[in-house]
Amino acid sequence: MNFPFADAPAPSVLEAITFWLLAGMTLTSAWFTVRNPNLFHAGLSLICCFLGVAGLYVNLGAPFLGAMQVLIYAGAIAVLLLFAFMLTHDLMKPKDERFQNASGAVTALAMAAMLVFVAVKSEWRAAGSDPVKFDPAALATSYMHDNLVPFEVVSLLLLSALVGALMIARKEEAPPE
Amino acid sequence: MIGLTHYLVLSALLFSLGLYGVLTRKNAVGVLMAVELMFNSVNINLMAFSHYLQDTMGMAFAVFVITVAAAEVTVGVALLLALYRNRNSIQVDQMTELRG
Repeated sequence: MNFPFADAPAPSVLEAITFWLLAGMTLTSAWFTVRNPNLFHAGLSLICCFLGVAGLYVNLGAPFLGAMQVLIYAGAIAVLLLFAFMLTHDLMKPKDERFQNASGAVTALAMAAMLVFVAVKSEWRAAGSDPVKFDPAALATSYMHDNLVPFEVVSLLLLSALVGALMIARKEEAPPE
Repeated sequence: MIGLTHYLVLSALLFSLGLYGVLTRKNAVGVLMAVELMFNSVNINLMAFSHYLQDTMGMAFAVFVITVAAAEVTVGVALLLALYRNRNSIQVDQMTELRG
């Protein structure tokens, strides 16, 4: 299974332009996700943010992961969150979402400063010698050789999450007399 | 030229935005959305290291993170529905039963 432009490395200028566009899109929509008082609009911004992150994956040479990001995050998780909002939202109540601003901004700013400082100041190791292709075949080889046990554990986790979510969310029935 | 640091800084900013949302939102669905932002920033980190160190392990773990996030949001939404059915509210500042 071959994806378009999976092999050819993008020219660096084009890569830079794409990066800045996608980074701006991601951060802007993330800001609206966090701060929009209308939670439904925040969910729509979240979809926009997921699409930006998927574009970043394609920019990093992993179009398969970008496709999965669109399918799972933008397609399933965001829609599930929007459904959760609509199911738990009382239409009669006023729509204003309240924030607790006091210490959150300080904590987030401190976290951002620390992480950016570490990322900029650290000496990162140079790339390995032989280039690796991030295609689905490499991923499948990784799962069937090196990561076989985590792969199986994740499948078990998905099954238990499925059954557990069903058990938690179902309506309590009256016990049979 | 875009290097590893660009992606790391972007992911740090996205993570902090997610943390800000987790700390400031009062609706639990909004908290879940912010948690998803943090998951995505971690995934950007993993993919950036995978790309710049030429190793597929980061991509494999990014897929694991996506899977676990899907499971997490499923259980989280189920919990919110059960909570809404019992309490008729999912504002996180109103869940004070365990306060001493």
